[in-house]
Amino acid sequence: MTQTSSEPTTPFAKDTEPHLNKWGPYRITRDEVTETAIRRFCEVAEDGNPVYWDGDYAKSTRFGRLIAPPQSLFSMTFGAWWTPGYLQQQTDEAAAALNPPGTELAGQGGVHAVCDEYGYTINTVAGQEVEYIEPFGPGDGRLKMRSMTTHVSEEKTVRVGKGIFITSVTEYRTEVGDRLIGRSTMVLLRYKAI
Amino acid sequence: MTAPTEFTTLSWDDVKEGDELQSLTFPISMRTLMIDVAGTRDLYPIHHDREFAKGNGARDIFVNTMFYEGLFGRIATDWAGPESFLRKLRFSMKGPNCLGDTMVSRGWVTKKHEQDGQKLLDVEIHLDNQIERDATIANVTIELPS
Repeated sequence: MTQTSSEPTTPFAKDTEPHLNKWGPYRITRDEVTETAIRRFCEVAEDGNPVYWDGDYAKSTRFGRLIAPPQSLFSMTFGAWWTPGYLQQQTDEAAAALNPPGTELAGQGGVHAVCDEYGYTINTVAGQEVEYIEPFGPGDGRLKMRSMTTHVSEEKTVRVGKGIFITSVTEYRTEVGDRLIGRSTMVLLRYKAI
Repeated sequence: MTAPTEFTTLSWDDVKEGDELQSLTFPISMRTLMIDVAGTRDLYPIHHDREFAKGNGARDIFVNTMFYEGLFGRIATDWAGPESFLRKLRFSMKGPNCLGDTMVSRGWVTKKHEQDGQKLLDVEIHLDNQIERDATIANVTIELPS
Protein backbone atom coordinates (compact mmCIF):
# COMPACT_ATOMS: atom_id res chain seq x y z
CA MET A 1 0.00 0.00 0.00
CA THR A 2 1.36 3.45 -0.86
CA GLN A 3 0.73 6.54 1.23
CA THR A 4 1.40 10.24 0.81
CA SER A 5 2.68 12.23 3.80
CA SER A 6 0.14 15.07 3.48
CA GLU A 7 -2.89 13.09 4.62
CA PRO A 8 -3.55 10.98 7.73
CA THR A 9 -1.11 8.08 7.39
CA THR A 10 -2.79 5.50 9.56
CA PRO A 11 -6.37 4.30 9.92
CA PHE A 12 -6.27 5.61 13.49
CA ALA A 13 -5.29 9.14 12.38
CA LYS A 14 -7.94 9.03 9.68
CA ASP A 15 -10.64 8.02 12.16
CA THR A 16 -9.77 10.70 14.75
CA GLU A 17 -9.17 13.60 12.33
CA PRO A 18 -12.86 14.64 11.92
CA HIS A 19 -13.16 15.07 15.70
CA LEU A 20 -10.34 17.60 16.13
CA ASN A 21 -10.62 21.36 16.86
CA LYS A 22 -14.35 21.48 17.56
CA TRP A 23 -15.78 22.71 20.87
CA GLY A 24 -17.83 20.08 22.60
CA PRO A 25 -20.99 20.91 24.51
CA TYR A 26 -20.96 22.85 27.79
CA ARG A 27 -21.31 20.64 30.79
CA ILE A 28 -22.43 21.96 34.16
CA THR A 29 -21.64 20.56 37.59
CA ARG A 30 -24.45 19.16 39.71
CA ASP A 31 -23.32 21.05 42.80
CA GLU A 32 -22.35 24.61 43.58
CA VAL A 33 -18.87 25.44 44.87
CA THR A 34 -19.24 25.20 48.65
CA GLU A 35 -17.07 25.70 51.70
CA THR A 36 -17.40 21.96 52.46
CA ALA A 37 -16.15 20.91 49.01
CA ILE A 38 -13.23 23.35 49.40
CA ARG A 39 -12.31 21.91 52.80
CA ARG A 40 -12.41 18.34 51.51
CA PHE A 41 -10.09 19.28 48.67
CA CYS A 42 -7.71 21.04 51.08
CA GLU A 43 -7.56 17.91 53.27
CA VAL A 44 -5.92 15.97 50.42
CA ALA A 45 -2.63 17.88 50.36
CA GLU A 46 -3.12 19.28 53.89
CA ASP A 47 -3.37 22.87 52.63
CA GLY A 48 -4.07 25.23 55.53
CA ASN A 49 -4.14 28.50 53.55
CA PRO A 50 -6.60 30.67 55.57
CA VAL A 51 -8.20 32.22 52.46
CA TYR A 52 -9.65 28.74 51.80
CA TRP A 53 -10.68 28.02 55.42
CA ASP A 54 -11.48 31.18 57.36
CA GLY A 55 -14.20 33.43 55.92
CA ASP A 56 -13.48 36.33 58.30
CA TYR A 57 -9.79 36.31 57.51
CA ALA A 58 -10.47 35.94 53.78
CA LYS A 59 -12.71 39.05 53.84
CA SER A 60 -9.76 41.08 55.09
CA THR A 61 -7.58 40.05 52.13
CA ARG A 62 -7.51 41.41 48.59
CA PHE A 63 -9.86 38.57 47.56
CA GLY A 64 -12.57 40.03 49.82
CA ARG A 65 -14.20 36.64 50.41
CA LEU A 66 -13.49 32.97 51.00
CA ILE A 67 -12.11 31.46 47.80
CA ALA A 68 -11.52 27.95 46.50
CA PRO A 69 -7.95 26.91 45.80
CA PRO A 70 -7.67 27.75 42.09
CA GLN A 71 -5.96 24.37 41.66
CA SER A 72 -9.18 22.63 42.82
CA LEU A 73 -10.84 23.48 39.49
CA PHE A 74 -10.56 19.90 38.12
CA SER A 75 -11.85 18.32 41.31
CA MET A 76 -14.72 20.79 41.54
CA THR A 77 -15.81 19.89 38.01
CA PHE A 78 -15.40 16.12 38.33
CA GLY A 79 -18.51 14.04 37.62
CA ALA A 80 -20.74 13.29 40.62
CA TRP A 81 -20.59 9.73 42.00
CA TRP A 82 -24.33 9.12 42.15
CA THR A 83 -27.36 11.27 41.43
CA PRO A 84 -31.07 10.41 41.67
CA GLY A 85 -32.68 10.23 38.25
CA TYR A 86 -34.97 13.25 38.64
CA LEU A 87 -32.05 15.47 39.65
CA GLN A 88 -29.82 14.15 36.86
CA GLN A 89 -32.56 15.12 34.41
CA GLN A 90 -32.57 18.67 35.80
CA THR A 91 -28.77 18.88 35.45
CA ASP A 92 -28.95 17.53 31.88
CA GLU A 93 -31.63 20.07 31.01
CA ALA A 94 -29.53 22.89 32.48
CA ALA A 95 -26.60 21.78 30.31
CA ALA A 96 -28.76 21.34 27.19
CA ALA A 97 -30.02 24.92 27.58
CA LEU A 98 -26.41 26.13 27.24
CA ASN A 99 -25.79 24.35 23.95
CA PRO A 100 -26.94 24.86 20.40
CA PRO A 101 -28.27 21.62 18.87
CA GLY A 102 -25.54 19.47 17.29
CA THR A 103 -22.68 20.21 19.71
CA GLU A 104 -23.20 16.86 21.48
CA LEU A 105 -21.17 15.00 18.89
CA ALA A 106 -18.19 17.36 18.87
CA GLY A 107 -15.51 17.72 21.51
CA GLN A 108 -13.68 14.94 23.21
CA GLY A 109 -16.27 12.17 23.00
CA GLY A 110 -15.49 11.27 19.39
CA VAL A 111 -11.74 10.84 19.86
CA HIS A 112 -12.21 8.73 22.98
CA ALA A 113 -14.68 6.47 21.20
CA VAL A 114 -12.10 5.89 18.45
CA CYS A 115 -9.44 5.07 21.10
CA ASP A 116 -11.79 2.52 22.66
CA GLU A 117 -12.35 0.93 19.25
CA TYR A 118 -8.59 0.54 18.76
CA GLY A 119 -8.12 -0.96 22.25
CA TYR A 120 -6.45 2.04 23.93
CA THR A 121 -8.64 1.83 27.01
CA ILE A 122 -6.34 2.74 29.93
CA ASN A 123 -6.04 6.48 30.73
CA THR A 124 -3.26 8.34 32.40
CA VAL A 125 -2.56 12.06 32.40
CA ALA A 126 0.89 12.65 30.88
CA GLY A 127 0.97 16.39 31.46
CA GLN A 128 -1.16 19.46 31.83
CA GLU A 129 -1.04 23.23 32.04
CA VAL A 130 -3.74 25.30 33.69
CA GLU A 131 -4.16 29.04 33.64
CA TYR A 132 -6.20 30.49 36.52
CA ILE A 133 -7.84 33.64 35.21
CA GLU A 134 -9.93 34.76 38.20
CA PRO A 135 -10.58 33.53 41.75
CA PHE A 136 -13.81 31.59 42.32
CA GLY A 137 -15.60 30.43 45.43
CA PRO A 138 -18.91 29.99 47.27
CA GLY A 139 -21.48 32.38 45.72
CA ASP A 140 -20.42 31.68 42.14
CA GLY A 141 -22.95 28.86 41.78
CA ARG A 142 -22.12 25.84 39.73
CA LEU A 143 -19.27 25.60 37.22
CA LYS A 144 -19.56 25.19 33.46
CA MET A 145 -16.92 23.75 31.18
CA ARG A 146 -16.38 22.79 27.57
CA SER A 147 -13.50 21.05 25.80
CA MET A 148 -11.99 20.36 22.44
CA THR A 149 -9.31 17.97 21.26
CA THR A 150 -6.57 19.81 19.43
CA HIS A 151 -4.03 17.07 18.63
CA VAL A 152 -3.72 13.30 18.52
CA SER A 153 -0.28 11.66 18.28
CA GLU A 154 0.71 8.66 16.24
CA GLU A 155 0.56 5.28 17.93
CA LYS A 156 3.72 5.09 20.08
CA THR A 157 5.56 2.59 22.23
CA VAL A 158 5.65 3.84 25.83
CA ARG A 159 6.98 2.51 29.16
CA VAL A 160 3.68 0.78 30.02
CA GLY A 161 2.74 -0.52 26.55
CA LYS A 162 1.55 1.00 23.31
CA GLY A 163 -0.39 4.25 23.34
CA ILE A 164 -1.70 7.52 21.95
CA PHE A 165 -1.14 11.03 23.35
CA ILE A 166 -4.24 13.20 23.13
CA THR A 167 -4.05 16.99 23.64
CA SER A 168 -7.19 18.88 24.63
CA VAL A 169 -8.18 22.35 25.82
CA THR A 170 -10.90 23.04 28.40
CA GLU A 171 -12.51 26.35 29.44
CA TYR A 172 -14.14 26.88 32.85
CA ARG A 173 -16.82 29.46 33.70
CA THR A 174 -18.95 30.35 36.71
CA GLU A 175 -22.71 29.90 36.56
CA VAL A 176 -23.27 33.23 38.36
CA GLY A 177 -21.95 36.07 36.20
CA ASP A 178 -20.64 33.71 33.50
CA ARG A 179 -17.03 34.63 34.32
CA LEU A 180 -14.14 32.82 32.62
CA ILE A 181 -12.09 31.52 35.56
CA GLY A 182 -9.69 29.04 34.00
CA ARG A 183 -8.32 27.39 30.90
CA SER A 184 -6.44 24.10 30.78
CA THR A 185 -4.44 22.14 28.26
CA MET A 186 -4.08 18.46 29.00
CA VAL A 187 -2.06 15.68 27.41
CA LEU A 188 -3.67 12.36 28.10
CA LEU A 189 -2.05 9.01 27.36
CA ARG A 190 -4.48 6.28 26.37
CA TYR A 191 -2.73 2.93 26.17
CA LYS A 192 -2.95 -0.82 26.07
CA ALA A 193 -0.55 -2.83 28.23
CA ILE A 194 1.69 -5.24 26.30
CA MET B 1 -13.48 32.87 64.50
CA THR B 2 -10.41 34.95 65.21
CA ALA B 3 -8.43 35.88 62.17
CA PRO B 4 -5.04 34.19 62.27
CA THR B 5 -2.20 36.65 62.56
CA GLU B 6 0.83 34.48 61.82
CA PHE B 7 0.30 34.57 58.06
CA THR B 8 2.30 36.97 55.94
CA THR B 9 2.55 37.38 52.19
CA LEU B 10 5.87 37.91 50.46
CA SER B 11 6.65 41.25 48.98
CA TRP B 12 7.51 40.94 45.28
CA ASP B 13 10.31 43.48 45.69
CA ASP B 14 12.03 41.30 48.31
CA VAL B 15 12.14 38.12 46.19
CA LYS B 16 15.17 37.28 44.04
CA GLU B 17 15.56 34.76 41.25
CA GLY B 18 17.17 31.68 42.78
CA ASP B 19 15.40 32.07 46.14
CA GLU B 20 14.48 28.65 47.51
CA LEU B 21 11.12 27.44 48.76
CA GLN B 22 11.02 25.44 51.99
CA SER B 23 11.09 21.70 51.33
CA LEU B 24 8.05 19.56 52.11
CA THR B 25 8.17 15.84 52.93
CA PHE B 26 4.94 13.95 52.23
CA PRO B 27 4.69 10.17 52.83
CA ILE B 28 2.01 8.31 50.84
CA SER B 29 0.03 5.92 53.04
CA MET B 30 -3.21 4.10 52.24
CA ARG B 31 -4.93 6.85 54.25
CA THR B 32 -3.35 9.48 51.95
CA LEU B 33 -4.74 7.70 48.90
CA MET B 34 -8.20 7.30 50.49
CA ILE B 35 -8.38 11.02 51.32
CA ASP B 36 -7.18 11.67 47.76
CA VAL B 37 -10.17 9.77 46.31
CA ALA B 38 -12.64 11.40 48.69
CA GLY B 39 -11.33 14.94 48.32
CA THR B 40 -10.64 15.04 44.59
CA ARG B 41 -13.63 12.87 43.55
CA ASP B 42 -11.49 10.70 41.26
CA LEU B 43 -12.70 7.08 41.30
CA TYR B 44 -10.37 5.82 38.58
CA PRO B 45 -9.20 2.41 39.93
CA ILE B 46 -5.51 2.91 39.09
CA HIS B 47 -5.38 5.16 42.18
CA HIS B 48 -7.07 2.80 44.68
CA ASP B 49 -7.18 -0.78 43.27
CA ARG B 50 -3.73 -2.39 43.65
CA GLU B 51 -4.56 -5.37 41.44
CA PHE B 52 -5.86 -3.08 38.67
CA ALA B 53 -2.79 -0.81 38.89
CA LYS B 54 -0.29 -3.69 38.80
CA GLY B 55 -2.24 -5.42 36.03
CA ASN B 56 -1.87 -2.26 33.94
CA GLY B 57 1.87 -1.87 34.24
CA ALA B 58 2.09 0.38 37.31
CA ARG B 59 4.40 -0.35 40.28
CA ASP B 60 1.44 0.10 42.66
CA ILE B 61 -1.50 2.48 43.16
CA PHE B 62 -0.35 6.10 42.97
CA VAL B 63 -1.52 9.65 43.73
CA ASN B 64 -3.63 11.23 40.99
CA THR B 65 -3.35 14.41 38.95
CA MET B 66 -5.52 16.43 41.32
CA PHE B 67 -3.32 15.43 44.24
CA TYR B 68 -0.37 17.04 42.46
CA GLU B 69 -2.45 20.14 41.77
CA GLY B 70 -3.30 20.38 45.45
CA LEU B 71 0.26 19.72 46.57
CA PHE B 72 2.00 22.10 44.16
CA GLY B 73 -0.55 24.82 44.94
CA ARG B 74 0.02 24.29 48.64
CA ILE B 75 3.82 24.38 48.35
CA ALA B 76 3.54 27.63 46.36
CA THR B 77 1.14 29.48 48.67
CA ASP B 78 2.67 28.12 51.92
CA TRP B 79 5.80 29.90 50.76
CA ALA B 80 4.35 33.01 49.11
CA GLY B 81 1.53 33.63 51.62
CA PRO B 82 -2.27 33.79 51.64
CA GLU B 83 -2.57 36.90 49.45
CA SER B 84 -0.57 35.28 46.67
CA PHE B 85 -2.59 33.80 43.83
CA LEU B 86 -1.73 30.88 41.59
CA ARG B 87 -1.82 32.04 37.97
CA LYS B 88 -0.42 29.05 36.12
CA LEU B 89 0.37 25.46 36.90
CA ARG B 90 2.04 22.99 34.59
CA PHE B 91 3.58 19.70 35.47
CA SER B 92 4.87 16.52 33.95
CA MET B 93 4.85 13.12 35.58
CA LYS B 94 8.00 11.21 34.70
CA GLY B 95 7.24 8.47 37.17
CA PRO B 96 4.45 7.77 39.65
CA ASN B 97 4.50 8.43 43.39
CA CYS B 98 3.08 5.18 44.77
CA LEU B 99 1.72 3.76 48.01
CA GLY B 100 4.60 3.55 50.50
CA ASP B 101 6.75 6.17 48.72
CA THR B 102 7.80 9.40 50.41
CA MET B 103 7.80 12.54 48.27
CA VAL B 104 10.30 15.29 49.03
CA SER B 105 10.00 18.66 47.29
CA ARG B 106 12.68 21.07 46.09
CA GLY B 107 11.70 24.45 44.68
CA TRP B 108 13.22 27.74 43.62
CA VAL B 109 12.35 30.97 41.81
CA THR B 110 13.34 30.79 38.14
CA LYS B 111 12.06 34.17 36.96
CA LYS B 112 10.71 37.41 38.40
CA HIS B 113 8.68 39.46 35.92
CA GLU B 114 5.70 41.75 35.36
CA GLN B 115 2.96 41.19 32.82
CA ASP B 116 -0.28 43.15 32.29
CA GLY B 117 0.38 44.98 35.56
CA GLN B 118 0.73 41.74 37.52
CA LYS B 119 3.77 41.07 39.75
CA LEU B 120 4.73 37.50 38.89
CA LEU B 121 7.16 34.85 40.04
CA ASP B 122 7.89 31.71 38.07
CA VAL B 123 8.77 28.87 40.38
CA GLU B 124 10.00 25.36 39.60
CA ILE B 125 9.16 22.56 42.02
CA HIS B 126 10.56 19.03 41.82
CA LEU B 127 9.25 15.99 43.67
CA ASP B 128 11.71 13.20 44.36
CA ASN B 129 10.90 9.88 45.97
CA GLN B 130 13.17 7.15 47.38
CA ILE B 131 13.27 5.39 43.98
CA GLU B 132 13.33 8.22 41.49
CA ARG B 133 14.72 11.75 41.42
CA ASP B 134 12.47 14.25 39.56
CA ALA B 135 9.48 11.89 39.56
CA THR B 136 7.30 14.98 39.00
CA ILE B 137 8.35 18.47 37.94
CA ALA B 138 6.07 21.50 38.12
CA ASN B 139 6.30 25.02 36.77
CA VAL B 140 4.14 27.42 38.73
CA THR B 141 3.46 31.12 38.20
CA ILE B 142 2.51 32.98 41.37
CA GLU B 143 1.06 36.50 41.42
CA LEU B 144 1.84 38.70 44.41
CA PRO B 145 -0.19 41.78 45.38
CA SER B 146 1.24 44.98 43.94
